[in-house]
Formats: sequence, C-alpha cells, structure tokens
Amino acid sequence: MKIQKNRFTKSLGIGLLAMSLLLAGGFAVAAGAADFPQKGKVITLIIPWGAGGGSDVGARMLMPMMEKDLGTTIEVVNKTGGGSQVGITALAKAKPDGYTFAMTNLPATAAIYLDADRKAAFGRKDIQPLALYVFDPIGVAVAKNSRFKTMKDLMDAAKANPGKVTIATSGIMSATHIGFLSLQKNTDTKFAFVPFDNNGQMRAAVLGGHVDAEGGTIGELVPGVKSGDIRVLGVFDKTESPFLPGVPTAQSQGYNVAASTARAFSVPAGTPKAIADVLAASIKKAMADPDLKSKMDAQGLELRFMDADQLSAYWSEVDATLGPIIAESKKK
Amino acid sequence: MGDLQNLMMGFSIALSLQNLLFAFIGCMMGTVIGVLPGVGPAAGTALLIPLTFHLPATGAIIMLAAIYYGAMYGGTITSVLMNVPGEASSVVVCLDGHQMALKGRAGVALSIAAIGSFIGGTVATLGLCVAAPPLARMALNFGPPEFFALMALGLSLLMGLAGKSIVKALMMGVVGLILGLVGMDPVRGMPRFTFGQAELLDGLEFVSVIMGFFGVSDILLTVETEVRQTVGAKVSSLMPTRQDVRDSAWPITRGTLLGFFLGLIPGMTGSISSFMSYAMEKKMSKYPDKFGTGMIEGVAGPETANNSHANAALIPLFTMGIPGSPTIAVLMGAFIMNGLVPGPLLFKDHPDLVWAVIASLYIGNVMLLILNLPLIGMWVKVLKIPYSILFAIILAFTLVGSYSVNGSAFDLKTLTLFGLLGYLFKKLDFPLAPVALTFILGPMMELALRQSLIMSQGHMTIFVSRPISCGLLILAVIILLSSALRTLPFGTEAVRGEDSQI
Repeated sequence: MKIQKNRFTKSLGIGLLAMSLLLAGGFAVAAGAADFPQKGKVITLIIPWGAGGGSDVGARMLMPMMEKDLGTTIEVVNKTGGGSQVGITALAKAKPDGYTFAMTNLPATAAIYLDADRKAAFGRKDIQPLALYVFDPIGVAVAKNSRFKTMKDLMDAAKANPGKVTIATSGIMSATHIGFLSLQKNTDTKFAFVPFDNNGQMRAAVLGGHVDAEGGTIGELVPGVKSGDIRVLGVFDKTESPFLPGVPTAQSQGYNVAASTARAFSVPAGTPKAIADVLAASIKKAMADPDLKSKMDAQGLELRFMDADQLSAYWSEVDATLGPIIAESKKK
Repeated sequence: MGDLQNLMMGFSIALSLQNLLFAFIGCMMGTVIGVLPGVGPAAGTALLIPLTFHLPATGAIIMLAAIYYGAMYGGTITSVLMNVPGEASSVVVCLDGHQMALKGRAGVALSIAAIGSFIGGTVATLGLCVAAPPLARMALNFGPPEFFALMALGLSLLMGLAGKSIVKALMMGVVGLILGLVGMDPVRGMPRFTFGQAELLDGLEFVSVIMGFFGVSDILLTVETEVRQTVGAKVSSLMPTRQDVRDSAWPITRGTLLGFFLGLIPGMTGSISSFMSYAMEKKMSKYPDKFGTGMIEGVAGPETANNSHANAALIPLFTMGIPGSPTIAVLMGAFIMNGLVPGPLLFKDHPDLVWAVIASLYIGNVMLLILNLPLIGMWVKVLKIPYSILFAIILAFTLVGSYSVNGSAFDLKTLTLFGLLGYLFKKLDFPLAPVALTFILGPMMELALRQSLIMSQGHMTIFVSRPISCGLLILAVIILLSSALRTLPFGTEAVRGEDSQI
C-alpha cells in the first residue's frame, strides 16, 4: 500500500515538476531553490542501515550542523532491510523535491541493482548522487601473533594452497568481500571466504586464530590496531591511510587492487539541480566542523567531500569494476 | 589492588548527583522499554541514543547502560502480568510466570524476578571487575565449530520444552528452522524464499514474528474465550514465602553462573541464556511435569540468567571491543560516537569512564531493586484495567513496537500473519516455544556450520578434531540419548508434563 502511494506521489511530483518547467522555464525551479528549504518543513534523511551502526552514527553526527545551516529540522529514519535495499528503494520512490535524501553507500548500493537475483525495483538512473561524506578504504589484517608478516606472505600462502587461506569478511557482496574478489581476480589467487554476521564475531575469530586474516574497512580495523590486537598488512587504496602510518598499500606491494566503502548521500532522480546544490553545499559546510573532524579522526574515518559530478564519476567507476565481479561470482 | 583503587574512583564519579540522575533516568526508561511489548532493548537503546547527544560522555554511557539492563528487567513485568513478553529474553518467563499470576501470585513472581535479577546482575558485575581479562581470553577459543557445537547442545537441551507431544514439538521445531531459512543465503548470497520481496532479504523480522506468535495470538484467544479476568484480584502479597525462597535459591545460583558464562560468548543473546536456564531447571527439577503450571523455579532461573548475561556481556565489549549481541553493538556505537574505542586501550586511556560505568552498574542494580519492588504494585494495577481496553493498548504498542524496529510497514504484515498463525497453532494444540527457538538458533547454527565447513574445506572432521566442540557435541548426544531413552520405553508419562505453550 505504502509503495503504491509513493509511486503515486512520485509521478505526481514529476508531473508537477514538468508543468512548472513548461510554464515558467528554469525560472520556477530557481525560485523553488531560493525558498528551499521552507521554514518548518521537515527534511527526511533515510538511513538504510540499522540505528547505532557506523553509517548511522556517522550520519547522525552531521545532521545538527546541517539543521543549523538549513534552518529546519532533519528527521532521521532508519529504514533497514535487505542490506540497504529496502531503504534505497524507498528513496528511489520518494518525491524528488529535496525533502527526502538518503545514505547510499558504495559499493553496497550498486551491488543491489547489478545483481539480478536481488530483483531491485530501482537502477542507477533512479538515484541522483548528492555528495560524498566519508571515504573508508578496505584493508587486510591478521592477528598480532600471525605467521603472516607482510601481504606477500599471505598472498604466497594463497598461491601455494589455492582456496585454503581463510579470510573473514562481513558477508556476501559486502564492500570487503567485493574488494577481495577484485584482488583475487587481479592476482589470480583463490581464498576461502568465511562470512560473518557482525564485526565483533569476526574479530574474535581472527584473534582466536580460527581464520587466517580478516578484511575490513580502515574504520573497522583502526580500533584493533590501536589496541594492539591486529596488524594491518595492506591498504587497498592509492595512498597510505593517514590513520595507519607505515602500513603500505597493496599496490606498493605489487598487488593491483583498490576498494573502499564510500558513504555518500543521494536524492531521488529528478530533484531540481538548484535544490540538490543547496543540500550538497550544506553537507560540505557541515563537514567543515572541527569537532566532527576530531570525532571522525578518533574513529579512523576520513572525511572526503565530493560534489555531485565527482561522486557520479566515482559511482561509474564502481559500476564498471563491480559488474564483472558479480557476473563471475554467479557463474560458479 | 590498582583495580580496587580505580573502582573507588569510579564510585566517586558515579555517585555524583548528576550521574546518579542519569542512572536513575536510564533505569526508569529502560524499565518502560522492557514493559512495552515489541520495543526490545536493542531497538529501545538505539531509539534513545539521540537523547544522549548533548550529554557528557560518562553520563551518556551510564544512562544508555542503565537503559539496557533496565529493559532486561522490565521485560519480565509484562511476561508475568499479561503473558506478553516485552523482549525476547523474557519469552520463557511467560511459561511459569504468567501461570503464577493466574494463581494470584504475580507479586511473588515479580519479587523473585527482581531479586534474582539483582543477584545475577551484581554477581556478574563483580565478575566483570575481577575476571574480565582472563575470561575474555577464554571466550576467544570459541570459533565457528565451537559455536555450532554449543548451539547443537542448546537445541538438544531445549527439546526438553517439548510439552505434551514430542512429535508435535519436533514438527514445530522444523517449522522454526524453515522460517529461519528465509532471507539471503549467508554464503552464496542467493535469496531464499523471499518471493521477490526486498523486505525479506534479511529474513523475517524476529521481533514481529515473536510478537505475533506470543502477543497477538494470545490476545485473539483470550478475546474469544470472553472475559477471563481471573487475575488482578489476588495479587496481594509481594513477599515470597519461605518455601519460595528455598525453591529459588538454587535456580538463582545456577542462573547467575549460566548467564555469566554465556554472556562472555559473543553471539549468545540473553534469550538463549534464559531459555537454557529454563531447560536446565526443568531437567534438574524433581517435578519436571509441573513446569508450565507456575513453578517459581521457572521464573527465578531464567530471569537471573538473563540479567547476569546482560552484565557479563559487557566484559567482551570492555576488554576486547567485541559486542556480543545486537544491543551491545548499539551500546558500542554510543561509545564510538563519544570518541571512545572499546577495547583494552579503553581501560588505559579512559579509566575514569570505564570504572565509573562499572560502578554505576552496581548502583543501577540497587536502584532497579529499590525502584521495582515498590513499583510492582503499580504494574500489578495495570491488570485492573478492563481487558477490552488493555488489549487495545497492548495491540497498539505491539504495532508501534514492531514498526519501530525497522521503520517498515512490511513488518506489520509479518506481525499480523504470525499472529493469525500462532492463533491457529494454539487452537490445534501445537506448542510454539520450539518454533521460536529454532527460529533464533537455526540461522546462527547454519552460519556456524557453513563457516566451519569453509574453514575445513568441507571436512566434517573439524567438529570432532577440536577439543571444545568435540566435548560439547558429545554432551549434546548424551543429553539427546538420555531424553530419548527416558521418553521412549517408559511410555507417555515422562513425556507429558504440562504443555509448555507460551
């Protein structure tokens, strides 16, 4: 019932938008942006992940600054389910008037519509990128007493015993799993991936020596590094992580792989650019808050702003890498 | 000795007027969350995180921790009074707790639950102080094969919940396993039984299923049987009799230990502790048949285990930064939000905060006891509300609670469907406890099984070549065999017992 209503409002919204465009040309939209957001009209942020998780907490920290900047209330709604599929479907069906935006993490969002099995009700074209907020590269880590001292040790072991080196990941087609599939593909190795429900169990399995290594984002690995429990062998990014000084990138060790989780915001496709720009500018401004930066630093999370165009280009890169990986994983 | 000094320092911080107030507010809100069916500790704590945004870090954590263990206690109240579990770990308390209420002993059931919770919580906190580091290291020895073996053991114990008919119970157990299959295959990533519904990719929402089975269906049944308002009249005494205390002493002791050790194991939820404690009490009792008819042991054990578990589960969080349950994960989010990374460094870098939180656990447990014993009278009065009104209110809370977990209207359909199914099952005399059980344990067991097999490249030997998992599996086989031997040759009598429907 809800879905139907949303579909209706969406087509209504598009219809109204088209009418206003016809009647007044670009002017009407520009005027719409001038009074966006209207005072007292609540903006909804859909977080497709559970309350209290990393994405949720990070986004909620940004909202007070945005509220101050926009002069209105932002209501955070956790719409969870299907590895963010439910929440993003809701975004795609929402009215494109700037009063609804959502967290659309990459590559998780792309993994939904690129995987035919998931029967997504939306595609890339239904989502309009707004801005990048946090960039969190993937890394590979082992327990502090592991026999693997460098990434080469790990890769050599995997080459010598294909499919026997166990890597803990946070589930199928998670950013980490995708990163390792890409590493596997580019280096012609084979790992055994052990999926875990939550990072806590995963870390325990690594520390207890039940798996050989774990994949995780830098933000997930930094606490373990700080406590001295794990060592990070390589970072899947072009540059070293500022939070893990001295840890070489995978590329510098001769393994071609780049993978990360990008926490981004998007609006439904069709949102007038002028209005989207207001939101994006507000995100950028809010991200400059020094208190936010120190809190994010403490978590090992890098604030990295990208505007809609840059994010869109990055998104296309993700699509291009991910498509073949998903296709290949289905062949087996 | 350094730790004792630290604890003293923690008390001096936690006993400040401001922090006492935070603990108090947290206990109250937690109890309310526990009382409201459907809003479990995880959802409730998460919902209230925004309230702590502008508090100092220590105050915020103290308050959230108090909400968490307050909810663990509050869940009991509705289980006993209305047969509606406020949260998953109180499901099992309905069995005997509500029967006691029907016999006019609601006050006693709640007192014993409060006392058991207090003892379990306090002892576990003591354990947290003393034994945290070595125990956390022990928990690390549990990998996927050990988890699998442990859950197999859990299931074997829980078949003791069978009730009148073993066959019916096994059938329902399989139904639970099937329900647990819905969602994304954890290893292959293929959707199973989702019928193209994105909402089902994460599986059926636990809270909605449980609330439907145990909340809605019961309301339907009661409405059908017309006013059955037997309760309310004779809830006079809160004071347990000498016999009650004697009957509860051992269950409380065992519950404390069981909850404490299971609390240390990541992935074990409070509901497993309470279920296992119930099964254990039933097995150890001289009168297992009487379970489900209002045995005080069936309240004291699980309720104690649940609260002991709640406090013990903070050990892996504090010492290793490993959240053992969804609620603890929410709590960990609150730590991180305040710039604190749970783990060994936490003790080193923020001793004031950690020890203040630990001290506040003691204080909070005392507060809950003081708060709840007199307030039980107030909760009991809830029963005086006419059922027609009360049921409407409960249904409303159930709907709101079920919706609030994911903010999903789909979960309301789940709730309704399982409400009707539960009603049907109860009418046909099928027990519901085994469904709930296998529904919780099934997916966890499946994941552990498949993780283990990935680790061993498909060799089953991994389960017997590791001493802990081998030991647990042998224990499970012994338990299964002994219950089978006891039930089969000696006919129906041993099996019967009262039906442990919830």
